[in-house]
Amino acid sequence: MARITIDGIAVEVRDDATILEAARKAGIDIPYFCYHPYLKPAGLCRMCLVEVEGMPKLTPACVTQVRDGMVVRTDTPRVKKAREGIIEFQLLHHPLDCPYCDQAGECMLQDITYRYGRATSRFVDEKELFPTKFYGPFIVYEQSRCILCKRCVRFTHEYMAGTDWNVYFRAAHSLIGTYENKEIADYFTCNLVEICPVGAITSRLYRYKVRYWTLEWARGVCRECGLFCSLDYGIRENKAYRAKHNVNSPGPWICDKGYFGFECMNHPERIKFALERRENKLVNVGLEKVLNGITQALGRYKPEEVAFILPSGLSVEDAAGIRNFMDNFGIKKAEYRVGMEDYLPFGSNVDSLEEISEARNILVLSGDISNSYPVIALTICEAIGKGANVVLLTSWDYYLMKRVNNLFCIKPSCEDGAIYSLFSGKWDEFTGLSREEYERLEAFLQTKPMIVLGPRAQEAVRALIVDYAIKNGLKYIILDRSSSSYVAYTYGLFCKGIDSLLEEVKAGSVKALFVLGVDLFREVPNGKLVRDALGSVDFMVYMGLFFNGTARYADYFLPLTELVEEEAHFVNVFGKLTKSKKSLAREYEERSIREWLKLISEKMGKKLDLEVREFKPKFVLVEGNKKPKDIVLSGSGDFEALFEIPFYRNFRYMEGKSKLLEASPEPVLNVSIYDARSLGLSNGDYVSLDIGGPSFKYKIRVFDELVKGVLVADTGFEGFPVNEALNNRIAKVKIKK
Amino acid sequence: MGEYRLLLANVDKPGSHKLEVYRKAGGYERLRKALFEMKPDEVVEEVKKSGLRGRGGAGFPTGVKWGFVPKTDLPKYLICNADEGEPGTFKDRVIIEKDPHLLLEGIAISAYAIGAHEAFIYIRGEYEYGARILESAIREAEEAGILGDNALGSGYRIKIVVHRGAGAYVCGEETALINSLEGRRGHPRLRPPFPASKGVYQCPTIVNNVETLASVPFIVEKGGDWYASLGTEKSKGTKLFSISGHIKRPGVYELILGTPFDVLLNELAGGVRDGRKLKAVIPGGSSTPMLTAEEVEGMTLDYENIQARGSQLGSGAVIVMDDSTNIVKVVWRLAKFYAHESCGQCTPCREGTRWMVQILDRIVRGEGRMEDLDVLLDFESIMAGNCLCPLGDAALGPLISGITKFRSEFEAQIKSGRCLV
Ligand SMILES: Cc1cc2nc3c(=O)[nH]c(=O)nc-3n(C[C@H](O)[C@H](O)[C@H](O)COP(=O)(O)O)c2cc1C
Ligand code: SF4
Ligand code: SF4
Ligand code: SF4
Ligand code: FES
Repeated sequence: MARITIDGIAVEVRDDATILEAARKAGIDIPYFCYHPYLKPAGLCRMCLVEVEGMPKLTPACVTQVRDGMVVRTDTPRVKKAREGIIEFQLLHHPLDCPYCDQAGECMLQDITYRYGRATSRFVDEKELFPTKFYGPFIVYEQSRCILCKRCVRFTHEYMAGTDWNVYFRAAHSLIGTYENKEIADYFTCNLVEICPVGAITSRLYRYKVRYWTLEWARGVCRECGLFCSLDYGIRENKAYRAKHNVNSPGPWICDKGYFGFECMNHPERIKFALERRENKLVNVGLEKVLNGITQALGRYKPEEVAFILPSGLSVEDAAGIRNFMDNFGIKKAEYRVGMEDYLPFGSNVDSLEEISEARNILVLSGDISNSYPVIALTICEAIGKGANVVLLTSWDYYLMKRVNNLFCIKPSCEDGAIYSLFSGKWDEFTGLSREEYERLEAFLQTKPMIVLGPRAQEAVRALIVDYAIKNGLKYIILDRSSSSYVAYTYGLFCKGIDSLLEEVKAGSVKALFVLGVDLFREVPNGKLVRDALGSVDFMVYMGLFFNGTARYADYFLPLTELVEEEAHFVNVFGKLTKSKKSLAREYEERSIREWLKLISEKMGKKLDLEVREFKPKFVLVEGNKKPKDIVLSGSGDFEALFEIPFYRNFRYMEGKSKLLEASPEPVLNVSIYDARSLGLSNGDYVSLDIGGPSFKYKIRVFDELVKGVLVADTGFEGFPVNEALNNRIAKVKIKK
Repeated sequence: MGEYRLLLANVDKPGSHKLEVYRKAGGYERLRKALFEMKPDEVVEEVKKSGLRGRGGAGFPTGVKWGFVPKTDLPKYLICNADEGEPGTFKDRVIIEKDPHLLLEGIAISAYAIGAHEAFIYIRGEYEYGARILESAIREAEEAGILGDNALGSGYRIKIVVHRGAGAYVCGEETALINSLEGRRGHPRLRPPFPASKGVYQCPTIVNNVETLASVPFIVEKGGDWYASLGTEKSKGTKLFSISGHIKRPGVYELILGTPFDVLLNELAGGVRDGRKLKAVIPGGSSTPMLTAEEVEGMTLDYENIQARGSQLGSGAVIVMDDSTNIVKVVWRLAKFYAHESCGQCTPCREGTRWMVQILDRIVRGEGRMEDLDVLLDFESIMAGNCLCPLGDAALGPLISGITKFRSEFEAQIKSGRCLV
């Protein structure tokens, strides 16, 4: 520890603290622009200059380490003069367009100018101004407002290595931007908005909507993945306009899904009334009638003929409510694993993102972590930036494949086999790994890396890895597709998998379904089965925000609340509980899942207790020692295709998130460079994909890292029923030009 | 007192860039001496004793800098700074083009002294001919077994690589140079850490100017004490001066430090041209404050004497201006240079150099205001010492000295709206 005095105030700080950190501890304000607590210090803006006794020059507080006994002054005429000078310099060519700048009110340049600047400027020359640039659907860049603190560039370099964002040219003509891309939508784009201290990078979703100071802030969480990142929503007149990640929980950064995803709350097409089916329409007949209708219908079925299908992002309270409802009526069947992988076991012995960022060796297996747990992928990239060795064995992970130190790319159908062979210590040539590659992986395993296993892996593989990790003392994170797994598992809300449940519906042994917030046509890879099952279901209640393919089969539609419209708790991948507060009043009949169930239960004469007194998440770890199931590929053709919902469509209530969808406007087919060459395809070409019968139009993206003969095709588009032609995520296909 | 040719001893010989010519004059014997008769530390000791100071501009004692290299197992690197970007400077070029083997020998000895097996010559992009000369000299020396895996059969490996810059002045600054060498943007790095502890690839690195390194063989040959016997109290040895401007015989002259400026100006360079009068002198490259004719009276060419007059010896680039010179335009032109060459990382330098030019542009156009001069002078309090690298301070050199020393010329131009010289 070092003791130093700043403006006469003594503080004690870590030996490696900077003067700026010490000043913050002492409660002394030192203005800064380029400093950021989660970026490496850069010392560029020179806003933080202070005087240190014994040093002839002023020194930047953000990069100068304290020394025991150091005497720092921030209140001298020299410091004042330097601050005024730096502010004057920053403002020389600044457009001063605060009246219509979205950053106004939260702009560090504004704040610092008010506090430390001079009221007048000596500048009489012409300002150099630049045109506005739109970089894709999310961000707007105003070069004229940029103070060249390079925070954005440092973020992309330190965390998003490989993203096309940098500083170009020199001197006062330096400018920030992309080299070759017209857009940047790279999963974590939103952080550029938040990290920019001025109005140079702003959000297109928020552009010219409301003034910052008119917003009230409500603490909530993002429900798009199992990280449940803390998010504050800026609210005005009962509407959310902005999201901000103010608390370092679970980590300092978030992804675009959270930042731009609250839009569904305000969406004009959102349904806020309970509806009943009349002929082929859902109509508003009044709440009473709807409840009566549902209870009467339910009375017709035996408990074993009723089942629940659950969404991602389930809260503890909702899960408990569903459990109690099922117990009230003896209902046994519920399933949350709609992605068709048999998710058990899942879990982790890692406690925080920080632990990942500190790891020296990380083995990332299967996929697609960056799509389903974005911030974990970002943290892995952070670790790479800190010198970690990251090895990825997968068939597809858009973000990580371009960024890891070592990539072993294989066919989708080989993923499980390859991982299984690695952990059981037996090379198998059919996994697509050469003996040499296998040996390199095996050698890497000897370094005791942290293991991160993605959602595509099946049960036997998961069990084997957990077993191995525990025996050998490795850290592991076993991820699954649904962020509901902790709560759903704890409350026993699962049966034998979505396919067997849908088979039962199809066969008529399950007659009544509660589908809660999931569009089965989008989420269940076996679309044929979904169509058959829903076609033969007797009775269905759909809860959600929007009308969609699944809701089309519903007898009743019950509108749900979302995000800060209800108070709820969530359990993240590290087993930690986070809370989202209720801050928005409800407008019409929207209710949470549990509140609807309570109404129904009480109507049927049974009280439903909604209070959760105690919650202890359960983990499932080792389960037997099975062999992975063989993957039988349907269809025919020369290519093996993996069908996945792309990042910018892979979230709850896709229908209501227009901004995010703009980044994924049409279905893309990723093709390896080899196949692109032999088929004469290049980026932007259109092809049709033949999946044994119907064919689908796709736009080509040549993806250098893919294996020859493998295609990765987008799903999850409205009016684009690829899933319905499939019975699994992977299939044999043909390409037609 | 006149020229003293140590570094320039060979340059006028025909074929001076060839190995055989160099060897005939005793070339590479100093390397042999170092490798076979001296321990690395002994070489460092001799250089410390010699009092040799960096010839790149800052004048830091070379032996002391070498002493900062930590004793670690990490690889160490030597970089020869041949970026020679400072306006007015063209002295390294003579060594590079005319006596490349002297430089290579100096690099090899210095690399041995600091424990480096790899050395880079970072040469400015415009010196294409120089780069070719160096490359063929390296090839010659490697083929002759002088450099390479087994230098002169000593078992010591010395690999020298030429790396060409892409035309940025700031890449002469040692940390920007290192970034550029690593393939990054040529932006100066924060210090600490200093290159001596974390330089290229985060390994200990010494950066020295061409002339500095070319002086090392003589120190090894004749001893540090001998070298220190040349020059003054604080300025030892010989120095190349590249003199240019309004003189009869511009060129590169080698002088013992402490030689009167008069010798350089009048005896060697032939005095101010066309019988005109001397007006001002920039003594050490464009970044050093200019001196008036009165101020250079009785000046001797050494670090301390020039410093006492408020300027610096710098790189030894003397720019002479006669009474036909419009100082406003000189200051304006140099400001444009810095505004163009600033890397743009830090606020004071980036914005200061741009605004400087905007104001001077206006003054030159005849739209200046008297307040402008005070604004310009005030730049010192905002920029001086507050920038990330010395380029920001360098930009102040001609500006502040020009305005303070020739203020009446600026005022006249502002009042009349035109140039009166
Ligand atoms: C903007 C700037 C440009 C520089 N350009 C050069 C140069 O072209 N050549 C050079 O040798 N040193 C140059 N230097 C000095 C180097 O940073 C460094 O001090 C020098 O190479 C050290 O070598 P020395 O100790 O042998 O002088 C420059 C410094 C600055 C700040
Ligand atoms: S865009 Fe914003 S964050 Fe990036 S350099 Fe400019 S001011 Fe800084
Ligand atoms: S990482 Fe997950 S929880 Fe966090 S913002 Fe993204 S989707 Fe939401
Ligand atoms: S002083 Fe100028 S050249 Fe040096 S780092 Fe700052 S902006 Fe770049
Ligand atoms: S905050 Fe210290 S230099 Fe920018």
